[in-house]
Amino acid sequence: MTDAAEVGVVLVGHGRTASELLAAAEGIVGPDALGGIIAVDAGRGETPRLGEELCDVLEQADAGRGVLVVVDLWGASPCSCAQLQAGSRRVTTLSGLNLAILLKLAALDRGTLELPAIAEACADSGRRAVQIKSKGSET
Amino acid sequence: MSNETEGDLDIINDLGLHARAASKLVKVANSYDAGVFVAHEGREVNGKSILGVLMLACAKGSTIHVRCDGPQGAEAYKAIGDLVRDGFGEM
Repeated sequence: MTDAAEVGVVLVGHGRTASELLAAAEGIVGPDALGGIIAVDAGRGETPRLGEELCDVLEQADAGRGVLVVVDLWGASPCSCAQLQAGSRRVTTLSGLNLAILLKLAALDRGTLELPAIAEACADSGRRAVQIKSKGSET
Repeated sequence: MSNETEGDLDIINDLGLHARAASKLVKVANSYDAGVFVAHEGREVNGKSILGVLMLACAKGSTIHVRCDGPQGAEAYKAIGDLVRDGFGEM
């Protein structure tokens, strides 16, 4: 384990949302800034297969400084499955996967920041990206 | 070289200050030892944050106010001005 190890990041979403969202973020900031982030597509949610895949992916993502698992929907199978597979690993789960969270991750230094700080910064950006603006006449 | 560190810039590309354009602006801002702040309609954000710049929601035809400070403030302002005047390379 070296100081250069990065906090791992795994995205898990229904359908193909995780990999598509990662690709969209790479289209904005380029692939380098998001290097090492792994997307897991839950598809239609075949839980045993997803569990095995997440187990392997968490192993791959964990360089010793923990893993941030970003899921799309709290409590849904990608979320519960990831928590189940975390086992004794240092895993923090964040729900509400959106493009703002990925752009925030691209800007953060995962080599120096600790897992809780990364999770908080992502949660903050993800929340602030949800806005309402209404136009036109009221009826 | 001009020593200006702040001023108004017009957004001239069709898509406005969209995500990829914001990403380009932030990359330029981050390449200088300078503080960079971008304002639009009374709201000022950190020019080194894509999400901050996107919050301004600048469409084509809008005007942003860019303010730079620090050792390379003038260089940063010049580079950002060039990028915006070039329509973020999308023209």
